[in-house]
Amino acid sequence: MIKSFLNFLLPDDEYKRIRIVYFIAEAAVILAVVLLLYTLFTSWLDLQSRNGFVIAVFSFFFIMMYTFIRYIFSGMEHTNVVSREQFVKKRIRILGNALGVGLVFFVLNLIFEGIPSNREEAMDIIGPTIFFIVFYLLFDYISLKRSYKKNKELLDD
Amino acid sequence: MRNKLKIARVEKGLTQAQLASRVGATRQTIGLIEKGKYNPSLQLCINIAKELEKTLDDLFWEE
Repeated sequence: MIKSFLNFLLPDDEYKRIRIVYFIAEAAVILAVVLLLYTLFTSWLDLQSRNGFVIAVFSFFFIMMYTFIRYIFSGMEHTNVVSREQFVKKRIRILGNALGVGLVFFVLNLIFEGIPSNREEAMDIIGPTIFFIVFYLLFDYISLKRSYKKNKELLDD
Repeated sequence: MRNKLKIARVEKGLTQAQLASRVGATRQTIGLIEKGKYNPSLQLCINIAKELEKTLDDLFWEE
């Protein structure tokens, strides 16, 4: 294995490892081009848009989200789901995971926001929690579906 | 290359998942190698060859 501080973030399987390194590298190259264009346009047009905080947050989330979405759609997360039964079992587990993580999200929201005293405050906690669960479930389900499809194609004939 | 690997694995009486766990890979990776959709590292080739008691030529040399 190549020595790198990235290793602790990467899985043991070499195919997965290589694909993830590629996703991170793609994100970095796209971001570099976007930042270069941004720099050129702001200097040529003499724009005063130099909000460092926004650029830093955008850069961070772009790399994270690009890598995450590419990983989800690559179908390599659930490598052992090859039969319909395994797929159904995993789907139920994914639902359980989403609800569990959603509950943690809800509790953390309660801790940071405090116990709601009216309906509006309650919605400020419940709304994001539902949003979080739906997205968590959606991404996990897409990943499972893509993995299942890919695994079936690679199954023993 | 892909058929040779698959034949050797079946001769050895191993499933993709069993071979994968013995060589430290996932079942998907073994499937990809067998289908010719992924070129494994030399280290993984050696691990597979050792596990199947074949040489690298037996498994991966294309004539």
